[in-house]
Amino acid sequence: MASATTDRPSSSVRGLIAERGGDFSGYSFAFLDDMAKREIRRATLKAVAIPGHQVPFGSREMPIARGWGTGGLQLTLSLVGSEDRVKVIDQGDDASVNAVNLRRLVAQMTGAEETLDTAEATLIQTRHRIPEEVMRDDQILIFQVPIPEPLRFIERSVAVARGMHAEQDYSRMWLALYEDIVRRGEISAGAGYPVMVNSRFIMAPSPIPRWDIPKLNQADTLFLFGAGREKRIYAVPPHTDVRPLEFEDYAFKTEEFDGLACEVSGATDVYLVESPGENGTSRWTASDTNYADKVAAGIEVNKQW
Amino acid sequence: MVAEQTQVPEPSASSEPLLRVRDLTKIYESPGQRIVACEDVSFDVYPGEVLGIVGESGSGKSTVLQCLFQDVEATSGQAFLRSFEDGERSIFDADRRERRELRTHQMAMVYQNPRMGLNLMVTAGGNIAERLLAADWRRVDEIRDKASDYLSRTEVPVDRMDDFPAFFSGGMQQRVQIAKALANNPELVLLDELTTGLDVSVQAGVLDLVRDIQRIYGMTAVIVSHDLGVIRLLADRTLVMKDGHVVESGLTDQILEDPQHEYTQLLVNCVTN
Amino acid sequence: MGYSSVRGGLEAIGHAEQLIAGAVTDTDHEVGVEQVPGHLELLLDQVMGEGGLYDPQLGALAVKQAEGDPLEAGFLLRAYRTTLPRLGYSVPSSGRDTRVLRRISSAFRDIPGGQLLGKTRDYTQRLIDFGLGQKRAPSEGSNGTGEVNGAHATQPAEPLAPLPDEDEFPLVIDVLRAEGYMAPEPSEPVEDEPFDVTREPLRFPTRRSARLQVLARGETGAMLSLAYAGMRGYGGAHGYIGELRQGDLPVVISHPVTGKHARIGRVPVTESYQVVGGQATKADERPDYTMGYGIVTGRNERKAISMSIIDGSLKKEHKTGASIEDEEYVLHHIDAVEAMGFVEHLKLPHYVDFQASLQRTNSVRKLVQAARSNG
Repeated sequence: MASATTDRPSSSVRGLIAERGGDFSGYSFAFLDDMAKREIRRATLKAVAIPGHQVPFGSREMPIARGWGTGGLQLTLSLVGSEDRVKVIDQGDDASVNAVNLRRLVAQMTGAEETLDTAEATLIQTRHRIPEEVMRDDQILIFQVPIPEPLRFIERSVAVARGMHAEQDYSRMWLALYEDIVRRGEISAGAGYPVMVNSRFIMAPSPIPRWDIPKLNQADTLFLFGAGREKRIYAVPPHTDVRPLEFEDYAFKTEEFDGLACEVSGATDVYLVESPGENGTSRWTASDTNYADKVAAGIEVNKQW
Repeated sequence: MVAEQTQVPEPSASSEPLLRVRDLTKIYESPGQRIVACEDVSFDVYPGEVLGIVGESGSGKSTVLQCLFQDVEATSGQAFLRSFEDGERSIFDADRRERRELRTHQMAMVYQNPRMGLNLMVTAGGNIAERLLAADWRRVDEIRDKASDYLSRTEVPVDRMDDFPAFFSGGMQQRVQIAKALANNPELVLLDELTTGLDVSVQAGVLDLVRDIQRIYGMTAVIVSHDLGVIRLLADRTLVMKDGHVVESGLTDQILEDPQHEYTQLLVNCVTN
Repeated sequence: MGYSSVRGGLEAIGHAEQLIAGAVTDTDHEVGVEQVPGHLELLLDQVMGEGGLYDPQLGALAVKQAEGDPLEAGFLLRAYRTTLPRLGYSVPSSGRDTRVLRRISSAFRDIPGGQLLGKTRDYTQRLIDFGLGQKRAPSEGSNGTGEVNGAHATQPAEPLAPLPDEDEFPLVIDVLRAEGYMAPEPSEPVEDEPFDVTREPLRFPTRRSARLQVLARGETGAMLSLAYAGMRGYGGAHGYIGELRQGDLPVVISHPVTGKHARIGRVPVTESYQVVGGQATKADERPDYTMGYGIVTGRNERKAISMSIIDGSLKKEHKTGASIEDEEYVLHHIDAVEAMGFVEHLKLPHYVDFQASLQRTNSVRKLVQAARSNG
């Protein structure tokens, strides 16, 4: 992660900018000014030091809209150097329009190489998925977070929720889960299932499906979470305990796909999304497109997180 | 005023007091206004006893409870709870976290208005579960067993456990509130005018319930009421408050039979006539 | 299209960009950037105000690039502004120093310095001028006062009076202070250096400078709605406009070496001083009016007044529980960039999330069906 030292985009970046047909020469390397990058890195270090704790930071306006990944983008831009290989996925998909746009922006502003290959990337920015392929300790996964506060829906005041975290006052959260079970027979959180980090903080894992929750526990990879609009950064460092909130008699369960296989790769035991087809049929494909492509190409991929 | 207390034989003189309150004072101040809600109130509560505080509205009796439960901050004075720092540090010096622990584990409050003590957006069972969850209960079946146990103790039909108390009658809401207060077996229960908002027909049932629970489980409680009938039924000892001060204290029977202070005499006469 | 063809996404974006570029540049009658300040001045003012950057040239570029969408244009300005270094803070300026172009009070008929109606549409008839669509000879475009849009305005019989001096217009609020109706102005600045909301996340309760900054950058329409709701009974916020003034506020900095104050320019502003409260009580005869303050750059009276109503409501000692009195509610939701971004992010794909939600729904359904068949 070479830090940004140049003030102006490199010549290759200028070329890319010229190709796009606009004049953006008034911006720094990696868009953010050095002060901003430094501040974001400081907040990131603090977040790593206190796993699961939301660190407030002076979130900058980004050239993409709030709620479209500005928190993740600020983390990526504060960490990326021109030697990095950057991958961006949205719902697991590299080709998703917003993912393409973000990856293109990072490349244009830094000259970093774009990649689709999970194993090749040094930085992966993601919206709502963790790759199926196991990530290593020399990679960083950066999550885009819409609502960093796991207590938001039981306590709308940010100030009060902060106090609840400080005192580990989580009985209302547990109560909400209890009530859920009473009303629905189980805990209804689908994407964004609340987790307990390092036996200290309840954390919103961003809206990843339950499928991905176990991967957060004791991983080799650094997980960083950025919420731009809400101005918070938090982290799960490598080898940290991350447990879904559950009752002893109502254990956490991941999604089940009842033996369905990905129609692109034939892979089973992956997170599938359904595309309704004609005459009531549906097509099931892996949401992680790079994983599907690799399996389809006969490449062996380790997914035992 | 404090001196009078010492003349009274304590119900279990051998044991240490569970709660010691000293010089509790609450003054509400706003520009141009200074209201003394209660001043220099001191008393002890012994394990297993029910202390009554009686007085007319505005006498400061509810303020005493609110200060003890720390819904409002005492202006000065101290209160020592046996289980908090071995009774050596005043609960008024507790930090936020300790205060929350006091309110969810060691103490419980039953408010005149059930809306204050219950979360009406949560089921009856959930209201009780909240205190159990705060004590790290993590099995739903055990929580539900315990909640139904408390609900049946307070004579709330167990099949209403998953209903919202917003739709319950006032009497039933008050029973759920008492059940919630009993969860976690708090050392000290504070009861503030618990029958005042209820129909006369329902009041007797709730009072009997509290008396039975107290007898069976040996609950230690402070009960505040303007109604000498309630005090007579429930309290072992009683403080009489007027204009923010304790004017008389002693065994409840003694106070009712032989009131010393002119104001107490007036109160007692009102009831007997 | 292949299952994971990146070119697909990139091509689609490329085409979208072409369509936008076409709307901005490829027409026979391209809007000149230089026309924006003269002809679309109020739009430009709103954009610069919400964008938090007073720079008419950049603002005009943003307006053109955004096809006239004020929120999008403000967003462009913000995303540029955020990359600029903060070199320092100006010396606090007072509304007293404004070179006044318009000032009115609805609280008093006669105010020191007098009412000055100035440039306003308040008392015009809102009739569409069909003649505006016709091409005019160039000479008709000017009314001789330098007013670009003077052609369709009523011509004053006399040439406009020269600009009045700054000290001719004492603040109306100072009269109320002098009479003891309102607390005196603090003799010292309350904060040495302002809290910078563009560099630090808000902490609640906020400092005054932070609150005012968020309000000053707030979205006009959102603030109008909040203020309106406050006046209609959701907050009891009906006050009086002690003074509404428009003019050029000097920007003064302290010289980094000599420490001497130097005026480096002027920024047009609109200020609103809302008088809130009243009703002295027997118990309390303190000055019992408070001031709700509103300030925006440029001409935007709607927002300045709304801001002063909201500020007054947030300051209220005895709250009614209305949203407009709740600092977290107000300050979290009036920012155009944040609100539009998050609302419109719903356009992004949510396949994974929705699949997770469907799984839960089906799981609960199965439980219910199993329970039914068992009992």
